[in-house]
Amino acid sequence: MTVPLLSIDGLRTMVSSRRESFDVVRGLSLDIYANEVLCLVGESGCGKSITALSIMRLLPTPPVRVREGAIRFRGEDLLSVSGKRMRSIRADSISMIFQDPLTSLDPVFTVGDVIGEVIRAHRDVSKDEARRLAGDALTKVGLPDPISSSIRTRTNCREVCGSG
Amino acid sequence: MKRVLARTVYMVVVLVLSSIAVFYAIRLSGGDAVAARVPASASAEEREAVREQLGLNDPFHEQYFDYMGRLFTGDLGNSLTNNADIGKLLTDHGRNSLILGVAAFVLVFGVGIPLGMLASLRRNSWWDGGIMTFSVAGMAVPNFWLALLAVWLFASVLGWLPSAGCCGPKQLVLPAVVLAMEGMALTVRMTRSAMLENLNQDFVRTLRSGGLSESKVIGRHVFRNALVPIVSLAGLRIGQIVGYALVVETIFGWPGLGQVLVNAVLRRDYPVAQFFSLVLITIVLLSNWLADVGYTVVNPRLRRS
Repeated sequence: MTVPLLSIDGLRTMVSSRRESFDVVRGLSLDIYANEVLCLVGESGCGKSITALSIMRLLPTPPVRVREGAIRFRGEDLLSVSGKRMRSIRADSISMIFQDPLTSLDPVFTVGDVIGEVIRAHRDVSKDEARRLAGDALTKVGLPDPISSSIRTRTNCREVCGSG
Repeated sequence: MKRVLARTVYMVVVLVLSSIAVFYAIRLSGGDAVAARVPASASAEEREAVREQLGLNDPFHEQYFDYMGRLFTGDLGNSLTNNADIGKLLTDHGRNSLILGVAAFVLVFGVGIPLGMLASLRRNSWWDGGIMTFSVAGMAVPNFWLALLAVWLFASVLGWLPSAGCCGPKQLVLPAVVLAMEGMALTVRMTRSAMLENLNQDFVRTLRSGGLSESKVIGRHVFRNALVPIVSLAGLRIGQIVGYALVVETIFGWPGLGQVLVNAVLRRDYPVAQFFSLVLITIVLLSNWLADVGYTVVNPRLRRS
């Protein structure tokens, strides 16, 4: 039996304020193997995004935090790795494509700048080289110029997968 | 580009209108411009002769065009009271005002922005509370009163700094801090709220998901976004500094443009008062124009449109 690529075991994510606290994800376990596609489907507010953000360690803490469970990626417990290690995993090994493309992009930087910056966070390349790679990545998703809003999602996709 | 052009036209129009307003207002303000030129014992005829000689009996529009015409040929004229060359007044006092203004400007942003960032990054902490208290106080206390308090504490009680004078670094400290205080307090608040607002934006999460470090996400992206409203209002801060300079220069005896203007208005020294009013108006308009252009530079969304 092969080892799963990503394995979540008994995940419990909570929102807690001073007055009250409640679970947003309770007892979630799943395994994803290499070359496998897994879809989480459910009504809004059922915890899909919170699960994804828990994996990426991007929960808005406080008030939301993982209380129980383990998330293992290639055998590594993502909940206990250092912040630095987690950053190197983000976008390089695990990527996330966000829902609202309009607000998900930094308005004062060009898309090329940001993708280049993400590339440089993971690869030791020069600024110019990063820009060139960013341009290649945008061409690959067939991004024309100027950018229309429907294209922003694809941009977002390249932004987060930029280094891959 | 179109935006820059439109702002330039707007600036020129306002400048012309305000020059008319200044010219008219100073003549409406009463008092006698001739008083300083003739001895107190002068007869009514003698006064009238001087008035005629200075062209003060001409219709308003003639005086105006006459004055503007001379201004454009570079003839700034002389003071009515002591015949001082206005060009020389401008260079001598302008230098002092520039030193004071630049010092205040540096304090407004050089201290205001870092304090605002610190408050936003240590939100609800002791730091935040202290900085915001300082900021509220800075906005609430009128500068003339702050000036008096500062003189009392630092000059009279502690004896650390001189209460007035010009133009060494020691004499500069108090007027610069007093002049900067309100703008600094406003900048602190604006920086803090702009930082907090942008920290909660979705794009911050996107950038984090791209594996960028917190220092990059906050120091580069959140900060640049927060800078947009701050830069766009920087021109207003300059205008504020110019306006307050009149008060602060007078209190601290700092021989700058503000002091010259205040004295000229009090003595009904028309040419000096007119010219320096126009100088200050031009500075304010130019700084607003610069702010508009600066806003376009920091905000790429406006560059394309």
